[in-house]
Amino acid sequence: MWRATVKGLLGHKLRLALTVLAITIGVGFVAGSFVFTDTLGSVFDDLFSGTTAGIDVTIRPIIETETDFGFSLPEKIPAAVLDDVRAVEGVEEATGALFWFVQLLDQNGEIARTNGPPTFGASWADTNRPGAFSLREGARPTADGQVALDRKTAERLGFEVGDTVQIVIFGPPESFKLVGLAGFGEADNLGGAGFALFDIPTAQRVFNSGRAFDTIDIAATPGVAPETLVERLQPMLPDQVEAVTAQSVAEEQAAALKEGLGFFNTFLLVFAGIALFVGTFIIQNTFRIIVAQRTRELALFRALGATSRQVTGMVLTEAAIVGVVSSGLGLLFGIGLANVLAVAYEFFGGDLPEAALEVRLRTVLVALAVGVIVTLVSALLPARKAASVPPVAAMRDVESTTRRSMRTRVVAGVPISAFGIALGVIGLFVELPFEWISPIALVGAGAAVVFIGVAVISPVFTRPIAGIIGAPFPRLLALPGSLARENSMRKPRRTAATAAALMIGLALVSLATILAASFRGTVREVIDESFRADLVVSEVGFGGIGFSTSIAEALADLPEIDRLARTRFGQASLGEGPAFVSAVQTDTFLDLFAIDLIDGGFETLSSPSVALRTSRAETLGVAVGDTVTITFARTGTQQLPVVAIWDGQGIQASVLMSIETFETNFSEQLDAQVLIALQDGISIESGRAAVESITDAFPNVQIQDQADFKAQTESQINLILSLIFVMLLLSVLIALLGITNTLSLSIIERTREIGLLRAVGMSRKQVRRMIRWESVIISVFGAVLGICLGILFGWAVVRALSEQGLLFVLPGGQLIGALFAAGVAGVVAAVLPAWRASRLNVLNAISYE
Amino acid sequence: MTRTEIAARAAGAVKVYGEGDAQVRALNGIDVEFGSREFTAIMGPSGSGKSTLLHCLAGLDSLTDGHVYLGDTDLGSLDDDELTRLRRDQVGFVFQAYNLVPTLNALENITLPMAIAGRKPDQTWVDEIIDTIGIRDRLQHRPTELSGGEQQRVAAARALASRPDIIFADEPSGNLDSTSGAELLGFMKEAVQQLGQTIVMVTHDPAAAGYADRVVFLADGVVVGEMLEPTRERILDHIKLLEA
Repeated sequence: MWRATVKGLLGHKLRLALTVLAITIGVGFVAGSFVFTDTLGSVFDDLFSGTTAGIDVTIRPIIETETDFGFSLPEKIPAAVLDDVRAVEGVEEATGALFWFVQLLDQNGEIARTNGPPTFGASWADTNRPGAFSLREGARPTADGQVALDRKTAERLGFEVGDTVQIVIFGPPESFKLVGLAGFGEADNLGGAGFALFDIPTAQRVFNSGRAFDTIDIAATPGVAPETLVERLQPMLPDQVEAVTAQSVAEEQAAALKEGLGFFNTFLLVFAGIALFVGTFIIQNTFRIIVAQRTRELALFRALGATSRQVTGMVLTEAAIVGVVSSGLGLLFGIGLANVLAVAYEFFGGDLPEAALEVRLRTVLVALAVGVIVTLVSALLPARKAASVPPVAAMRDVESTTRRSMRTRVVAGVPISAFGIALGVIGLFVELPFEWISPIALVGAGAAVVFIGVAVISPVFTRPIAGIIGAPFPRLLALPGSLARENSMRKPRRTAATAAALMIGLALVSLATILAASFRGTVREVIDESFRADLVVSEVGFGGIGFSTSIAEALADLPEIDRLARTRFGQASLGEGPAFVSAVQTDTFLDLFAIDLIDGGFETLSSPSVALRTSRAETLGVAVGDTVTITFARTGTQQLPVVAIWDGQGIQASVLMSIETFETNFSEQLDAQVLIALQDGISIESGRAAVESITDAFPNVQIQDQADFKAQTESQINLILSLIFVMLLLSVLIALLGITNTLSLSIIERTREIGLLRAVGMSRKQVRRMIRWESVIISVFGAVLGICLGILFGWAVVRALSEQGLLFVLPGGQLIGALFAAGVAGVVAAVLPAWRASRLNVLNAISYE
Repeated sequence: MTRTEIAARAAGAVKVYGEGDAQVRALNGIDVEFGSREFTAIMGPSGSGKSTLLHCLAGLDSLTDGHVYLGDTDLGSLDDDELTRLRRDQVGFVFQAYNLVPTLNALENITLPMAIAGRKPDQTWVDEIIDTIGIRDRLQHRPTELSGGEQQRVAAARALASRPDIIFADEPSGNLDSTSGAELLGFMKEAVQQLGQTIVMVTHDPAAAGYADRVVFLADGVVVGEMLEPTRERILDHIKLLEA
């Protein structure tokens, strides 16, 4: 049977080529994700063990608050601690270190945008020990007015040693002389982040640190274990400060970056999974059609004595070979893809040392296993169908035209869909009592099951829906149009299976579009409701924490401004968990920003007290008049009365307090926002011009009005949406390959019919038109199913998130656009088959054996 | 019966398949004419080139050398689009099998060439044909719901519906039982005699050829004989003579 299998495979190699491609793309994404993240993972490992070279123990503030926000504002370590530490036995050398966010100005004096991570400012200690930074060129900064940059950033901005670099930290830009270029271990920067390095006194000055430090790095006397030193140091440290071994710091940092990498990997794998899932539909359809076309051949094998198991085995062996070949190709494709990702990573500011891409054995095995298993599972049903071909079929004439009952389809499909919906509902709305599966995974599995269920049922309504979609075709496109319509209806199972692949892609596209529209609509609503300021001054980008208070002071003197409200931002611990704290100017804030006051008022907030978000107050079980326990990094645990309970969106914090209370309890005093109301009669434009006259000196702040705010959120949402679209494009592409494949196979089946049409006078153009519009019907059918499912999914997800205030918005125009795009995609998918059909040799097509 | 005009003609037509040792000269410089309003049968053993001649006359295949004319048109001078239009407007076809588009019903199949051309069929003419071949009660049926004989009669009706200059039939009764075959051939004869059509039919069945006005005998790619007002018996005799 082996020879027959191989011969059969070679005989159909053209038909299988597109199938192979579908698997190759999916497997390629799996392999590419692994190769890229493995490579980056080991780069990070090397990087962070390099950063702690020469350091044995680090003293740092205890970071209690683990937030999604990515950074926190720990307190500084007083300079006295450094003196104490130096006196401890076993400490060979100790230096303070400082870090903050900085922004560089480019050669044109504009804030230099980074494509990815922010730029950090740091101190470069005056020590001869190896450290995190290595000098690549020039000298280390040793005096005020000097700076060193990482080589990558300097190259990117075109700075050379000796140039003057302008740096924004809190206030206006300050000029520094570039005295040296630094590297980070082997790499030219740290995972994409740039560095501006100062000597310690300069860093203390520019970061407003007084004589304090962010961390203290210690080298142990030879023979003293870091762990021993940690034990000796810990008792003498103030509260909120801890000693840890440098090794565990490196591990933590690498782990944090790798966690991000893990998310990225999961993200890629999810889309690879979707692509493969779509691929299974294509593979199954291809094998089903090929088995149908080979009915006589298979029957001949049976007639000649092959058992039905041998026939099944033959088809499955074919599938296995196809799986191995396409997984192998997929692996190669994946390595290529990882190269592309590496290039993209460098584009986004990262620097990969000359490390070869890491292709681990695990990656190879996973890729091969995924490809082969997906192919085999997809071929299982067609293989069983092949086995059911009776030997007598060898003598019978071709395609059976009897319409088999679709009852089994309904009987199987409805419960499957119901099960999928149930999984989704549980994932979305039910609090799970166990943790071995996450709600999101459950929702994803539910969606997959619903897709299968709908794909099983869909042949039942293929004929009516395809008929409706194609209804205008006969009139608009004459005969080719009506033939296209008829052809799309003649094999409902085939049309449905082909459309199902596209359905999945379109459902996810619609879901993403609906979620984006809902978020966008919700944000707009929130801005409309709460945004009462004419203008808001805030920081550019996401690097820093705020800007100098001198801006608000200067703004207050402008005659164009009626009133303003400044806000600050910080973190503290409230009850069991971390809390974001916003400080607001109590006399004006409520005029400029609408929040719902549920209870109490802001009148007494100016004295030491807090106002809590309803949800937080409920969790804590406190009301107005009660006292809550808040722990600040600077002042420790405080008891503060609750004077108001409020609710509202547009504020990230759950604790509001007065600027005065904030100043008492936080050491960093930077404004996060200044909300501005203009005098009556001053237009937004002239108000903006007035504000600019102050802020021009501060390139790190921006002025936004309500429209700008909306546009900003919108562009963020759109960025995420387009990223998701790009990833989904993959599965849509595979689905289109499926349409191309099905059409090609159908054309082989219809060779004689097309030949006849050509013989009686159908032009090549008309043949192409016929195929093209059949393709359009199939893809629009898939799109209709997909969009309907997408709306259903979107509605369910928004419902599940409605507690967070999310409103359901149906982006009708965009969905219709997607439908239209699917039609156009159908035209594209038909190009090749239509061309082949129009080139069929008429004579061969009509001559009979 | 006098010959008024020439509907189709081959002049020094040569068709060579393959190359080198595998070379086959299907048509070997053949000269032959087919008159209008005439029912001509082409006969000959397998490999005599009769199907090739038909395909070349109908614009389905091109010659290696020489010329074929439909009316005054030299088919060799036409490109694919012009040939397609010629087949659509001036030629009718009846093949041995697979004559009908399975997704169209009988009536749609009959009017197919006009639908392709985007023209309205001549309703009176179509009605006349439908009544002549007697399939009026089967018009809404799809090909799979028709018997073999009915399918071939629908095919013949289609060939006639657009009033082509000439109809080419390739073993039209080859797949039919004798009764259905006789019905079909009788109808074709009627189409020539009463409706004034021109038919050229390839067949190897002397009985089928007996319905024709004239039989042309082919062997090895050239005309080897011809017979007017043939009957089955005369044809059989002639074939014996040729084989002798």
